[in-house]
Amino acid sequence: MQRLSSHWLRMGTLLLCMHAATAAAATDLAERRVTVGGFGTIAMLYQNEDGIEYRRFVGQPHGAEADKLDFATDTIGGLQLNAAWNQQLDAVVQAVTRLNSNNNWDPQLTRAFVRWNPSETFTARVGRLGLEIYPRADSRDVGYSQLPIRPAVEVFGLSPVDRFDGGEIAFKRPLGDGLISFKLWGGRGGGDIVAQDGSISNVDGSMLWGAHVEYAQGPWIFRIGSGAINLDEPIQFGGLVEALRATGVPQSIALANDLDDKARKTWFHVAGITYDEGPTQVRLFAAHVDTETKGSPSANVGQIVGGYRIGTFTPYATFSFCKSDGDIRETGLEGMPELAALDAAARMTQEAFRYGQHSLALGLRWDFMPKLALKFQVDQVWLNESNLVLDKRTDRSGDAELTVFGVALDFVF
Amino acid sequence: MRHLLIAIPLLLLAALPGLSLGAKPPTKDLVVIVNPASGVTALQPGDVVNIFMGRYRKLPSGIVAFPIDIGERSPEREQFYRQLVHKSLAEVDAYWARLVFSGQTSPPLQVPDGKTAVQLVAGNRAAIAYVDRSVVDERVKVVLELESAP
Repeated sequence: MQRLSSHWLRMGTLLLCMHAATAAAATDLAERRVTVGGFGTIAMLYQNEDGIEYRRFVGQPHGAEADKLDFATDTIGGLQLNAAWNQQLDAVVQAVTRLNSNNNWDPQLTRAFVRWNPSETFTARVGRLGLEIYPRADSRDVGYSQLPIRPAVEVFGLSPVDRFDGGEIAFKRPLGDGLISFKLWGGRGGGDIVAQDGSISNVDGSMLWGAHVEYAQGPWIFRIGSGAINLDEPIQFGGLVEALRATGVPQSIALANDLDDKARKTWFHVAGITYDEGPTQVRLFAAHVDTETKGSPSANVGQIVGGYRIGTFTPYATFSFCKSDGDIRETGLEGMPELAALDAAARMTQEAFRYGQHSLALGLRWDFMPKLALKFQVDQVWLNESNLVLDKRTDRSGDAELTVFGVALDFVF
Repeated sequence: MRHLLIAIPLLLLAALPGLSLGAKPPTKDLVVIVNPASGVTALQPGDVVNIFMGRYRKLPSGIVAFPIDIGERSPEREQFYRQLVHKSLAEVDAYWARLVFSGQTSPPLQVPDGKTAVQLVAGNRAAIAYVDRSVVDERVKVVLELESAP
């Protein structure tokens, strides 16, 4: 399991001490209690496009291959321990096992925090927290809590970071006929990205921070927010930068300078709306991912998901997309056979940072027993220069379209 | 795309056997009760939704409410959430799965029956519960009648 930074453990201890001053005045119906719960998904996946491996997120070292049943991509398990001192103070520890970048299922420590809730309008959490740049991102692995089998690959699959060590403060209060809430968070986080060639890039130690405002009134929730990830180290392009500069070709030099840019920050600007009334639920959000690094393009992502419950069945549909801005830059080396390899390397390097994928899915959730849900889902996925999938085709330049069939059993206890 | 077009009618067909489930009429005369010392005389349905769904648990008197659910699959619990938020228990469980496993907040305490709920509310000024009217006694105060809730 990943080690929780001692700095944040000290902060958690501080919260406990702060609580001691206020606990005496608290109404303490909640006795000290420890509860254990868990969640999981056992899923089977099948897709039909030769040469493509369909992944749930960029941290997976392999995905579902064509015409083979795959049980690894969407299968996940989690165990959580809650310890409550009283209504104002509790702690949560959670471990999750899923296919990780090292091609094993070693459990990862995904939550380990202390929560202090001195009043209903203010909450503070310190420790290892779920990253919530996008709405519901911090529950993405809990299949039972959502309609689709997997969180939108085109949105959530892009980021290897789903947790961070740090702190969060949240305020909420009634406003008009609804509730307004504000959340501010920050800390350090990381994760692995498995590239097309199988190499693993690690972005551990990245600084993350962000805030969002949410207004809930009746069945409606409106949300707007921004967050940022500042990589611990700039992306290194090694000898490619020097080789491009050495050509003396202005376009190559300009590209080399951009690839050598030391900017490390990526901003996420997100807006979303939820409508949830009785059997009907519709959620949509969109985000602009603004990378300050010139060598890595910005992108737009989004998702809409809707479902309507009929008895114990909920048919649902979802559409999600990601699209990088701009085009691959030319090197000016075209027509120079002696530099063709360099031209190809520059193109491949740029391709590695581009995402173009959208999908439409139809599914059916069947709540056939308490805390058990069976889901059937069909995704039609359109690929265009996407690195979400692993593309093993001999000619990677072509677009692709694949159909993904999924069956999943979600449970909580 | 061809696979998708084939899948749509199959999915709809698969849904047919469950269509009539989950539409049972209310059978209990549910009321929401609090402790008389809570300082609360009446609650609106919206207040009760906020308290039991973990959105905002502050009572009008300033006390932070401690909600109590009856059983995991009791008729009272099933009826309460159907009347209050028009949700099935599976949807309520899914809602809480999201909040609990993201570490956002905790669900109501679950007790085995209405009498236990009345006992807890009678002994704690922050407690709030829904029970069948037949188990209400003078130790607790009715602040909302569910049947009249929209």
